[in-house]
Amino acid sequence: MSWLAKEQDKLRTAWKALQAQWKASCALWNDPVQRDFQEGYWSEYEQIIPQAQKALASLSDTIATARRTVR
Amino acid sequence: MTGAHVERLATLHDLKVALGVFGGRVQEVLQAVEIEIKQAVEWLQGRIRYWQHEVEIRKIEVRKAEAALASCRRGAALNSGNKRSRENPCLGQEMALAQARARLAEAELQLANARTCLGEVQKAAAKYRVHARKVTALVTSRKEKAQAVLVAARTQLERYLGTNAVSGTGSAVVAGLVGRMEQGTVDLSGPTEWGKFAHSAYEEKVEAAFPGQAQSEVRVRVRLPDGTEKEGRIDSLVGTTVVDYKTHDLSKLNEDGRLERTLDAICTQVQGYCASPDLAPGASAIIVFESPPRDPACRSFIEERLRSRGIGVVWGS
Repeated sequence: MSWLAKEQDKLRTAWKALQAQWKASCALWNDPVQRDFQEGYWSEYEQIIPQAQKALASLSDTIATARRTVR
Repeated sequence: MTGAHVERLATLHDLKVALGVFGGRVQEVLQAVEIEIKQAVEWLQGRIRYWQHEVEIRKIEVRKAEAALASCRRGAALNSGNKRSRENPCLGQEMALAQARARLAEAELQLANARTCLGEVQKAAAKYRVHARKVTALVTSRKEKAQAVLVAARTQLERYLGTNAVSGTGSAVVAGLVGRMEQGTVDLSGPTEWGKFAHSAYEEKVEAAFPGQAQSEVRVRVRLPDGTEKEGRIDSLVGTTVVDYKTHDLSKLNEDGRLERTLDAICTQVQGYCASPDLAPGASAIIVFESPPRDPACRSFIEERLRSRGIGVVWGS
C-alpha cells in the first residue's frame, strides 16, 4: 500500500467513525436543534468530505501512475 | 414544532468529541498528502531534468555515430576501387547509428512522459487542494461553531431535563412538570430557536412524566367559529388535558390593549383544540407561560382572563 493510499484509508476510517457517531446521536437526539444542526453543519460534512475523498483518490491514482510509468 | 427526544445527554458530548477527533485525523491526513504531493512533484522534476540531460547526451551520440558512418562510407568508397563486394564495410557503424537513434528516441519518449505526468499530478493536486481548503475550513472554524452548538444544546437540555421536578396529576401536574425556567447564555438566544427548543424540552419532560399517557405534537382538526376546519397541532396532550406552551414575553404586550388581544387569540386557539372532534368531549386546557410578567397585577389579570375562559395557567420561573 502506498503512502497516499494509507492516508486515504485513514480518512475513510475517520469519516466512517464520525458518521457512525452521528447516526448513534440521531437515534437519541431528535428535536429542532438537531435538525438545525443537521442543516447548518452536518450537511456540510456530508457534502465536503466525500468530495475531498474523491479528489484525494484521483490524486493518489495520478501519482501512482506517474511512479509506475516514469523511469 | 416536534417533540424533542434527547434520551441521553451524553450523546451530544460524544458527538462533540467525535468532531474533534475527526478534525485531528483530517489535519494529519491533509499534512501528509501535502508532503506526498511535494515529493512526487520534486521526483518528477528530477526525472525531467535527468531525461533532458539524457536527450542531450544521446543527441551527441547520434551525431558521433552519423559522423562515424559517413567517415566509414567515404573510406570504403576510396578503398573499393572497381572491386565489388557483397559485404557492407560499414555495417557496424550503421548498427551503431541505429542503436544511438533508438536510445535518443527512448530518452525523448521518457522525457515527454515525465512532463505529461508532472502536468497531470499538478492538475490533480490543484483540484484536490480546492477540496482540501474546504475540508480545512470545515474542521477548524466550522467545527468549533458546531461544537459550540452541541455544548449549548447539552447545557440547555441538562437544565430542562435534569433539574425540573415532576409530581402530581391533572392541572397541578403541569406546574410541577414545568418547574423553574432558567434561561442560559447559549446560541439559542433567538426567539424562534429558543421557542422551538423550549417547546421541545417541555414536551420531552411531559412525555417522560406520563409514559404512555402523554403525546407531543398531536395533529388534530380544529373547528373555527365560522364552522370551517383546519389542522392544528397540540403541543402536549396528557389524557384529555391540552397543554400549550407559550414563550412570549408578555411584559412587552402590556400596553394599548395588545395583551388582551393576544390573550384572546391564545384562548381561541386553545379552546379550538379542546373542541376538536378528534378529542374526547370535555377536554380541558392549561397554558404554560414560560416568561411571566414581573408586574403581579398583570399576572393576576392574565390568570383571571384565562380562567374566565376555562383555561388554567401555569407560570414558568
